[in-house]
Amino acid sequence: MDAVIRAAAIYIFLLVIFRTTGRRSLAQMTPFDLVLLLIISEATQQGLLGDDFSVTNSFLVVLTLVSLNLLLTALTHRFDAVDRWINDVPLVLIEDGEVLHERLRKARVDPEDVLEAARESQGLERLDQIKYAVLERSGGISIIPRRQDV
Amino acid sequence: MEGDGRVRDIELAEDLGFQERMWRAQRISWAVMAALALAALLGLFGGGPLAGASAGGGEVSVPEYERFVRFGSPTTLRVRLEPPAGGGEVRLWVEQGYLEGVRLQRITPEPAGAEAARGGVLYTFRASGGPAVVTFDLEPDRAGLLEGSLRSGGGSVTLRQFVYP
Repeated sequence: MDAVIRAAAIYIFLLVIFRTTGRRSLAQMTPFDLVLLLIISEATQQGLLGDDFSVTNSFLVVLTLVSLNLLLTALTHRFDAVDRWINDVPLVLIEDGEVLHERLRKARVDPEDVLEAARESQGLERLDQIKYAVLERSGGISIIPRRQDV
Repeated sequence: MEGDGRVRDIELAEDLGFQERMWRAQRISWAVMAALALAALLGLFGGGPLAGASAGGGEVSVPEYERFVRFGSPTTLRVRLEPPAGGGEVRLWVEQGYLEGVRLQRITPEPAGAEAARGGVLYTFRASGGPAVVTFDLEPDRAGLLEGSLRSGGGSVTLRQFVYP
């Protein structure tokens, strides 16, 4: 019984934490974010297993985590509202070369980040070469360039 | 879906209404996180100024214990007993309900004797003059409210601790 409750509690806690710290936090992972992730897993491990080091306990914990994940996926498919809260919605950051500064600020994205994505994915040099920049649900920024027929 | 009313040739499930709600929820949760961290620093979750407590007086008192403790993590209970004039033996009765909620690691000094008595355990300590201080090192074994009374001579004190899971 313990194992299931522990796993569920930590699952929900981490879900809330990672959702509310924003999608920017993990998508563009810096080396430090990776270290942070490792520390977080280290910190939760003890609470997850308690002082029961049996194979049964680890089975139950894994079982609970995977089941919860399945359940959540099913719910996000079934209900749009759940999907939005769990997976977020995409957001247009640049529209027809026009930078929507207010949105960038609120989404905590710098124009620099957009430019970086533009360089990496499309080899673009300036913001005005971008038709659309979209902050995706995954936290990445996707770039659609303007047609080069001018 | 709903955007800002502009017509676009990009197929995107943007939802500004939801986006705003999400951002608001995020800001609230940051405040909650900061508040929790502050409360933890102050000892709401054990081990700080808010957690330290003392209780009782007279023949039996607990000058030092923690109001907030955590499941399975060690905590200390210091009990001060007034031995009868002339020294000899001092007795301390601990309620069964309290002992059931903890795992006793050590009692210092070692009791000279322990016997089951009236819904609790009666410990006997040898003491020679002056007040005797007995230290219980224990680990809470059950989450929730932990309550129990201690008695010695004619005095009695009730402890109330909250055990976080």
